[in-house]
Amino acid sequence: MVPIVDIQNYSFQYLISDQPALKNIDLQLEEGRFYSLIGPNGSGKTTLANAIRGFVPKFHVGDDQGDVYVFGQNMKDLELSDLADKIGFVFQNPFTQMSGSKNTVFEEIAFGLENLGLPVDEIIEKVNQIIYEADIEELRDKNPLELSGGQQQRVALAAVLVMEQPLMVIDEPTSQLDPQSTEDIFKMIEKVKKRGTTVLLIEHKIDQIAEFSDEVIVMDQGEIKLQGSPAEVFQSPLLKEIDVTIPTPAKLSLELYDHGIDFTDVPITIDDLCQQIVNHGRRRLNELDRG
Amino acid sequence: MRIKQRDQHKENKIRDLNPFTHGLITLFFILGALFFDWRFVLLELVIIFLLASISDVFESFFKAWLKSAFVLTLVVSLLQMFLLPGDEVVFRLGFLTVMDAALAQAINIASQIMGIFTPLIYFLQVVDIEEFITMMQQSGVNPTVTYIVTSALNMIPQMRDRLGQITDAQKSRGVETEGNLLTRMKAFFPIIGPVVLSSIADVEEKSITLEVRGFSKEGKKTILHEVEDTDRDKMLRKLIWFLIIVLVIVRVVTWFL
Repeated sequence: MVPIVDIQNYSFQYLISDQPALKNIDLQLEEGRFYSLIGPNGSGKTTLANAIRGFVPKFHVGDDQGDVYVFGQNMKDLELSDLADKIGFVFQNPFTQMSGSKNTVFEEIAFGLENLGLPVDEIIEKVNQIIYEADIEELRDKNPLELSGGQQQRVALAAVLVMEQPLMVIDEPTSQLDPQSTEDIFKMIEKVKKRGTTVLLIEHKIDQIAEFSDEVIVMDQGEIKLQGSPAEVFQSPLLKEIDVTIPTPAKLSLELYDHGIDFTDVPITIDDLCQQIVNHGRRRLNELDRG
Repeated sequence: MRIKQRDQHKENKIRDLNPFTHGLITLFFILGALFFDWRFVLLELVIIFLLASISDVFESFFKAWLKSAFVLTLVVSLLQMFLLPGDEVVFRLGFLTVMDAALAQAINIASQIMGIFTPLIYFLQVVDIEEFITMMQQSGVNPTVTYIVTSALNMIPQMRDRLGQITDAQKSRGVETEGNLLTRMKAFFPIIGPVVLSSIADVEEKSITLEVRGFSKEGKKTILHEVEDTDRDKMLRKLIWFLIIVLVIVRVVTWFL
């Protein structure tokens, strides 16, 4: 199967920088999978996301080498507008993701579909559907520019989701949000995953990444250092060298190990942790029974 | 799906006119005020006040007119009347003297200001600017142009809010923002600088947002809320264009006579 995104030996350096932001990146993203991209600040995560969407180098100018293929086409042969119905993009700043030309949330969400030229009836149906799915009915008639940051980010996500692009790139959507808004955003991201959309999520919230991801990619200093399932990646000793935190359940299991409680596998989600505790408890009971 | 405001005023035949029709009526009156003297403007004021009444906007129109057109006209014409020279004294008011040429000039300038601002104020009361911009797009105006106009109008209150936030932030850093004129002038750049710079920084991300939403995609864009342009509107606009041409011809002819 042809990967949706195929990056081949890609490097990029911003014009104003003396170091490359991306070095010899090789990466393939398969259809329908949920990828998370983690790494310290300045590791090149956002640049990689921009390269996949084409903003690098078409918008953020610089020197690049190598190729980025999306849906089988080389990015060099595509215009930015060619990708609008193929790749959705959500980024950090909620305010600048409001178009500024619409007076209601309904119209804001419909904006992308208007640009794609869909019929009016279809637009209304799709927008109503996404408002229901995103649970933002109470925001329908409000002015997008008067919403809180968390509300704007939910609207921004809905406005991209409604376009039903097969690939979504979501770059630190919760970095400027309070905990409740963060939780709301991750609920929406969970729904995106259930749709079967291919997702590349850049986040620092490792616990949520461990919950959602099919695959985790770790970057440092412009290079991909690790790639694999969450269990493989979060048990790698390389993470400590890169200064990337591990999920809370894994941290807890390491603490418990120091106190003589040994799990068979390192848990990375809460469910894993609960299961490991139950299994450990059963093993101990069996040992006590035998003894 | 119709525009909400036009649905609300569908029974008012004047208010329900297409925004372009209202725009052309405004243009007719403005040109008339520029081409002719106070007599045309007097007639214009009577008609516009009548239209405002029929359109159910008289109260808001009158308030806005009083605060802007009336005050401006009064101030400018008084200054003209009392400061400009002339040959003959028309009347005295204490130590102030009104000369004949000054009075004529004051009447002339007063009629022009009234004649231009009054129809504009009426236009802004009866027309939803969003509808007007939608009509522009329906007429084939480049969507980029209509986007720039709409977003500029929407951004003004946002920039005002941002100005408030930055003022508070600078105050907390010890910048004095209140007091005499000199104090406030000193605070000008520490406040305006960040407002302008942050707005410029936002432009880059806003451009990305537009790309993500397919704004630059080729092909016909759908307009969710189309504005109706009835046969009545089209006929009326043809009539108004005819009247505008008559205005221009009369003006040219009287100019040469």
